[in-house]
Amino acid sequence: MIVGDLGPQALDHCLRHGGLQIRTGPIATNVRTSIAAVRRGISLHYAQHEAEVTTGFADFHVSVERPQNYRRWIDRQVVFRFDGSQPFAPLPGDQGFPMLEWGLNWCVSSHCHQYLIVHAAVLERDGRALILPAPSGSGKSTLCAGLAYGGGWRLLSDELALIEPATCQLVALPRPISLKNDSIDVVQQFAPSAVFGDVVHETVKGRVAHVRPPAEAVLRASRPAPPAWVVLPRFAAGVAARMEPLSRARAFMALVDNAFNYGVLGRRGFNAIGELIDRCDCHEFTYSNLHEAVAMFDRLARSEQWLPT
Amino acid sequence: MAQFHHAELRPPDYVAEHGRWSLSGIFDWREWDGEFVVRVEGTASTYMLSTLTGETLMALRDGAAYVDEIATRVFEDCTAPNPATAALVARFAVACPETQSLLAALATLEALGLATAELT
Repeated sequence: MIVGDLGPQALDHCLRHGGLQIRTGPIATNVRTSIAAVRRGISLHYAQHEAEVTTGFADFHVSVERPQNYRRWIDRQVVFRFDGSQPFAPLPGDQGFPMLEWGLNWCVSSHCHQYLIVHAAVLERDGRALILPAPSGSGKSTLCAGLAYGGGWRLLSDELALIEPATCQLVALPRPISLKNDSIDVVQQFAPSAVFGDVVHETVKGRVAHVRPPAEAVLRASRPAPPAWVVLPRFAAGVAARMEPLSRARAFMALVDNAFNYGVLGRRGFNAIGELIDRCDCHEFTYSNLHEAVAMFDRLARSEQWLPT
Repeated sequence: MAQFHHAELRPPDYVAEHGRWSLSGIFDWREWDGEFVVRVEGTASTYMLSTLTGETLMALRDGAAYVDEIATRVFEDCTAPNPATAALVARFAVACPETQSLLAALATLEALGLATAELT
């Protein structure tokens, strides 16, 4: 069964009573909410994801609800709960779905230490994975959305690269792509077929909207991909798209800097990144125009040995 | 100028130039095209090293202990006419840029907890 098989009433019932388990890649999450905007977001963004109506074992049990104290009457807020605890401060009431997404990112990056987890988008084409590690604000998600919706790349993840340490395979975690501020308009113009959820204003990240992951990416979520490229993206207004070679040592350090649990894995993490870098061509990429960027990655995918122009 | 009568009171520069260097920590390393990354087990920190610092670390790992021995290994492919000359440069011409660079590399490794020098 997939989430989309549930009608609105059944979905509402499951989410209210804590019985909806959604599978995103290797992770099963039990989700609970009685907030309409969050339910709407789940219905839209997770429509193609496998689901099970059960209260049985899940990797994470999460909820997004109104606070249980006096604040529920004074000020509309939402809280994220994880296995009964509340790891974050409440957010304004209209930020329920973004909070669910941010909370799920936190659940994975803080607990799934069977993987080396890097803050990176991951896409695949012709059986080869492209890893885009970058800090927030670098244009990573914009590029990821462009490649997933207009570049013929399969989305594995917009936010978290799950690297199997023993094999260096990239494990798919296809979830909504989070866009901020001007990126929302850029991707809407670039990919009219992309399905957007509600635009939420005045979050800590500014204006935020999520894009539904392509159905194909969700259907193929069980297929990992071997690493082929590490590309450090950077948005810079007004520049022509430029791909330049990056030394492997610098790419290595970029992965270390963007890893969530490198320190937890110790030597295993070092060896995993080393093995991954051994198998990859590494580049730095600067862009301002998404069309140019997608075209350049198309050339990258078509070339055996990428040579920048 | 201060006078130093005991080895343990020698200034650090003297120890670095004339002392016996050895590895002082467990580490993992990788090298690509002359650039090194190293993970220091004791601090769980990871660093990128310059070619010179990385090659110096490799020389220590291979058993070179004194500055002239380290220089011989590190500079053997560089501009010095031959290893013996490089060793002489390291031993006697302290102001030579290569020697200063080597001492700086050793100081970096010492600061990272990877190497230590002592007078024997």
